[in-house]
Amino acid sequence: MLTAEKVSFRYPHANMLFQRLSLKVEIGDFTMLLGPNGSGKSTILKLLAGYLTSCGGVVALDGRSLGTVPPRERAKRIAVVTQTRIPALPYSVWEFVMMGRHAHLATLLPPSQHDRDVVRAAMGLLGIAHLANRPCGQLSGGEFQRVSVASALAAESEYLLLDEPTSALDPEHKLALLELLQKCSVNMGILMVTHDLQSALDYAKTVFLFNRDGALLRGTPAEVLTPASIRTVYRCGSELLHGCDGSSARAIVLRPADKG
Amino acid sequence: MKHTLVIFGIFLLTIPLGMIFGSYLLLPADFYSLENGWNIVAVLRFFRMVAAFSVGGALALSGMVFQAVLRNPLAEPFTLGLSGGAGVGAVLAFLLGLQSVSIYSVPLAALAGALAVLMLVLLISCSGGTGGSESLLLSGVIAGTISASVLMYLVSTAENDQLANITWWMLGDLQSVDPALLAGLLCVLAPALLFLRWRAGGLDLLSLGDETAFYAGENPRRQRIILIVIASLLAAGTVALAGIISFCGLVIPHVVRRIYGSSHRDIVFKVFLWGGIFLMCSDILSRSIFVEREIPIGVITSLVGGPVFLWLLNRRRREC
Repeated sequence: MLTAEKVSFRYPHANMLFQRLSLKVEIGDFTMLLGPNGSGKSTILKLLAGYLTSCGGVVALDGRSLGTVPPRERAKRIAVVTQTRIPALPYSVWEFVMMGRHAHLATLLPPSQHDRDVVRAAMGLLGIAHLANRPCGQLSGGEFQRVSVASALAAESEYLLLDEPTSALDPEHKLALLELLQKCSVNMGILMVTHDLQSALDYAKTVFLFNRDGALLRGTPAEVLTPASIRTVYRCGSELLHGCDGSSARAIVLRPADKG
Repeated sequence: MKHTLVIFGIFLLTIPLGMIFGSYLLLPADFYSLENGWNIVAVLRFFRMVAAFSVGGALALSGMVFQAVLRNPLAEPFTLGLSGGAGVGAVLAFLLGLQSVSIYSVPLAALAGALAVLMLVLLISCSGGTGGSESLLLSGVIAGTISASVLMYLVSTAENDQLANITWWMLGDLQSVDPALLAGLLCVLAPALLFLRWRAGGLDLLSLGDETAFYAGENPRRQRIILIVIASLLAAGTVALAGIISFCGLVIPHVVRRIYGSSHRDIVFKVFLWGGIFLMCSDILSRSIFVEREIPIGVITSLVGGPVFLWLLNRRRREC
């Protein structure tokens, strides 16, 4: 279990971003974290992954403070997809995905057959096998985003933290990625930062929503993503449309607050 | 594998070529004779090839590390202003007439100048900045600009006869390689090569940025400082040995990536070999084009290497 217990955080020379915030990700969870720009979603992700250290409170992996977990073990257990940045050097897609297995690779030997199989499988899951030999710099934003997710999956970690992994994807690939993550979440703990309310409504098991006061609203998507909470958090009006065939399908329609 | 054998073959061929060509042709049959033992010219030329190989390999490795760590394909061994510092040190030694005191005064002054600038850059970037690659790059550019202007001022005060010496030194010079200095460079080069191969995976991750490197289990801040110190020692070592040789450290890593891929696990040794071979060939050219007077090797590396590599870089990446 990956937990943040009453963590507070402030960047140097800035106001407190949030205080005494708690959340947890368990194996089997598909959790989404939502909130306005600058509310601290990515910061929470970095705290949970150990990159930032909180000013108060504890981040723990199975009860052990994350700071005391050896880096290599931490890297094997928690994989992170950061907001995408194309690498400065012309790595091929294959090389880039293989870097996701860095913590597993032998220092001096070339990647083993098992490493190569895992990388091939991860690329297959994301539908990027045909890009293997292309330099990352030649890919479109959406293609590279899928390459980043494949790289994280190649780590075969227990926890997967993703920062807006669908921001550049077309509807087809967005749905494919969400389906994939949902499937992976059976034996993985997944936390995904997103701005896409509809994805959260359709796929998340648990939703954390940053309120304006720096607290987290939490619960199932239907409990959290109500017109009332959307109005306070995002300052816009919304309407929840239900499918006419009686299924559980719902659609969120947003409109500016002054027209709401 | 086939490629590796080919490079190794080229490497083995270049050394005797470098012993044959020069201000006059020396046939392999004359390398060794029963009466006189080894021909002194052959021996001198052999040492010169070893020096060229080590300097080229060291520069190429250094450039590879700087490009990865600074996350900038335009980085090269002298991006952090080491050449300016080395220049100030060397020119001061020339101007103060320290050459006549000891043959080691100019190389050691250059080494000291380069390392002083490195210390300054690391200090500025770790205390004033974040210690990240952007702040390192910025402090390097600042340190380089300052030392370059000091260098220009010093050069402007030089007498005519000193000026020729200074110019030769600044363009790189493999004519007067000292065995002790060469041994010194090799002592840094051999462990550095092994260390870089050992840390090659970390180098890959570091080039993706601190955050990604951290998530992969690396300690990016510490690794970056260690790697920069090693790359700078290599660069400073070559400067002490042979002056400032441009181009090799910038372009060789790119060419090797173009041919073999970018994963540092695969290319550390290849970058080293290619850098060495490139500088050996440049050196052969520099002393055989004009028989009366050598062309400075820095001129050759840029003039001949430039167009060749431009062509190579524009070719489409080989399918693997």
